[in-house]
Amino acid sequence: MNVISVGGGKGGTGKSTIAVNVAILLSKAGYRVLLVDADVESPIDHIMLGLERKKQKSVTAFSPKINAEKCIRCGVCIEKCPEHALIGLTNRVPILLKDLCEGCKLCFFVCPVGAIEDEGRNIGAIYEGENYGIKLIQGEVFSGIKQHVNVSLATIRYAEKFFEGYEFIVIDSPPGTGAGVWLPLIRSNIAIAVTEPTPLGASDLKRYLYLTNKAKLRTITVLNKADIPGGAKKIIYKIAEEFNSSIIEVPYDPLLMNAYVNEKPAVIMYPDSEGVKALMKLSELLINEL
Amino acid sequence: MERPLEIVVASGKGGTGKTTVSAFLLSFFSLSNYDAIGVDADVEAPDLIIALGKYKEIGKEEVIDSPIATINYNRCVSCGECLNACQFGAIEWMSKPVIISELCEGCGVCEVVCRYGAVKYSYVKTGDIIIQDTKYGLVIMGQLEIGRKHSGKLVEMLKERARKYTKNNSIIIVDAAAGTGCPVISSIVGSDYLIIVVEPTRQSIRTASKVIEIGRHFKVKIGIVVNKWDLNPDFKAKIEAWADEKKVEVLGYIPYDKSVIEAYVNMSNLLDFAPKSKATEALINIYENLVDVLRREGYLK
Repeated sequence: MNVISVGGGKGGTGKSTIAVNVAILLSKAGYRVLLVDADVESPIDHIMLGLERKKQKSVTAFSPKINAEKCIRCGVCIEKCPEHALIGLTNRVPILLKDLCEGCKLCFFVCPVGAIEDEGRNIGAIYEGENYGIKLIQGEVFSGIKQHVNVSLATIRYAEKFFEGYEFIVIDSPPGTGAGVWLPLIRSNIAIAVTEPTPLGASDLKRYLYLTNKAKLRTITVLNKADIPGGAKKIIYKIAEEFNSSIIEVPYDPLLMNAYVNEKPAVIMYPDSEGVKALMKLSELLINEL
Repeated sequence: MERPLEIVVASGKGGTGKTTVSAFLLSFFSLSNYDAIGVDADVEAPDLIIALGKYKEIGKEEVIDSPIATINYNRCVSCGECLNACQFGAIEWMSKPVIISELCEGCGVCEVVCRYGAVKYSYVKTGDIIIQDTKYGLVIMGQLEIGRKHSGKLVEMLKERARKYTKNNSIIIVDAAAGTGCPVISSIVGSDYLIIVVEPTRQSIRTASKVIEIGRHFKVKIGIVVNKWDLNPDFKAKIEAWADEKKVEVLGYIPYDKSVIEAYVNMSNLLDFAPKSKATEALINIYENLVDVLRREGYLK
């Protein structure tokens, strides 16, 4: 069982393209592959795989409901709430501001009379789908919900139950370097950092590699659109060297963009394209390494 | 103006061109004699100043405001209460409960449920607030400590700082992070106008729809900018139908143009580097449409 995190910091560098296509290539090489779309704020892997996803489970978070009969109006929950999501007027039952509540459950634990109940709040959902021989598990947080980390966590925990049945698990991470990136990283044994040869790609790559280094993960940097005149190719090689990461270049290939627009994986639509050839090298490297 | 006009640029999916649009708006508002102030709210991947050309750091402030739980193992009896109570998966069992600081929200639940007084909180660095001076005005940027949470909190602080620098003709442009999460919500709350930058793909439209919902929720007026539209020209009709259905205005279309990347490479601003490029022309048009909308809504005179 090998768990591969696909991240890289900057948005739009091709994380999902790499994750989806590498997953299919690994499956074509005869392995059982699970793809986990952990970019719960903007999940798109189901579109890239051209499949109808099916909802498996709702993700709920703790949401306080105050029992007016039990509440003694002591104000402890109001005082302790770290998000200031509970407000109170003298001698009134506290009022919850749902937009601010992060569902940490502190109010539930500090209430001296057990007046706070869990009403539960739907914050997202977990989906499954299957196409091109790979299984997809995908999490999505509902719009306007702050608790994306809870949905990431629920998605990863849900997916973990299936890990045993697969030889390769590819996790498509969100952009940035936040908790949504860290959750997959600490469960992985190799990371792929997708970047592009621009100054923006370079500065975000550095932050991502800092994180994979901290997680003590071997990391392969994928320099996507390697031949665009981005001016930062040298810097990226230097950063990768600094963090002991190997580099694979994927050339700019309009066919990859075309596949993306047509909602079909490039490895299926243009198996002989230059872009796909480079991705095959990456999947071979992963097979050899792991 | 009693308070500065605040415009947020967001996208949902990453890499659609938020920073390019934000930088351009800053430069154009500045050239039109507004006091343009940028806020780089993409605190996990701050790039706005790179897109503005030359910059100079004129101030830096360390923010130490992230509470993190630590366990005193002399007191801990490994009962596991904290692990069961934590709603964020920040405590894992590794023969004893261990705090994963990268996931700790600092909410205080573990301290409350521990009957042995084994959990204590300490405040660690959240990140930095850096004030940069650029040719086209000040940029307040945030840099979240790598792996730290509380990005929303840092974004709120950035916006507060920006408001301190405002004059009577200030316009604040907030370059938001990718996604639809906490830092994006913090960017949108309290602002006047939301620009969503999309690409001509279903993947982009889908995530942008979620940003529209957030904007609606906070009663912010919304406009759409379609970047690299000619990479998939057949999609234009779909975008127009989508914008109609969502009742949002399309501010304009930017063609794919290599000058945008070339400007970055040359550490220059698009407007300075390629004033006559197709992208610049499209962005000027978008700027004009935006100003019309802002006048119509009464935000600008």
